[in-house]
Amino acid sequence: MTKTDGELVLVERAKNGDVKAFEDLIKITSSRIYNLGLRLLHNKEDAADIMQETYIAAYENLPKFKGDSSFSTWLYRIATNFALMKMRKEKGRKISEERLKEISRHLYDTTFTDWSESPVDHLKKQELKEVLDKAIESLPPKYRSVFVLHDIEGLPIAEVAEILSISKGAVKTRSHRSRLYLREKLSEYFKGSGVKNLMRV
Amino acid sequence: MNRHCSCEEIYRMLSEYIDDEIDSLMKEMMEEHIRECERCLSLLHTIEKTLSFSREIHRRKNVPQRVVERVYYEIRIRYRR
Repeated sequence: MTKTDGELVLVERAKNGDVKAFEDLIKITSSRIYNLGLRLLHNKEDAADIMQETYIAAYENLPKFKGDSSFSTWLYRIATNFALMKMRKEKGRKISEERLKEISRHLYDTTFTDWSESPVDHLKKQELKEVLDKAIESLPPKYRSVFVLHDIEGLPIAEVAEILSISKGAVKTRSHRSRLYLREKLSEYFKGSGVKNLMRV
Repeated sequence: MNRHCSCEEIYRMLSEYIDDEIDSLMKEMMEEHIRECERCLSLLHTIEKTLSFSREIHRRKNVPQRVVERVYYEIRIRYRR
């Protein structure tokens, strides 16, 4: 029996009121859902809330789950929607979509320095983490969700499109713009403009 | 191969190249260009490094047991038959 088949058997049992089967589904999938929340919201409390809201909504909506997608994809969709609602209420400044488009249109005028082999000691790693986290947080929600699902969770483009109910083309565009923007932020860091300057969006 | 890639094309299509979302002919043309162009090679390396850093700092963490227990509890009290 494959992992997905196993999940489907548990889903059928849960649909028939077997709460223990649903708990087994939580056991199998909770690490992915909790970490998705952490990666999207950078906050343990929010990740825990997203996880709880996701499983309650999933349990209530189990009769609507027809198995057109895998159970995990369906859960990812619910969790991402809850996270998007939270992200839209965030107060921090976001980079504008216009600027993201501009980066993907005009950055090519600049010369690129290859910092990919630069030595990174422990202190630098901490700074880099700060710079990257801040930059990811400053991405508008619809870009951040694509970046996290595709580049951090490692989901294929088609699955990200399904989770977010957008076209594959839109996933590719948002992913490319996000990558270029984050790369630019790290380039600024390696050019030595200092962490303080980079904290500004 | 008759056609060559420009730097602009590389810049526009690099993500699709990284994701292996282009056909083999385009892939070959891009690789031919990247081999010869230091700027595009730097761009490729730095995007790949950006992605590997991002994955590294977001390594999966264990779910605290109390968080899982809280979810079990909520489900049990709401849906116990």
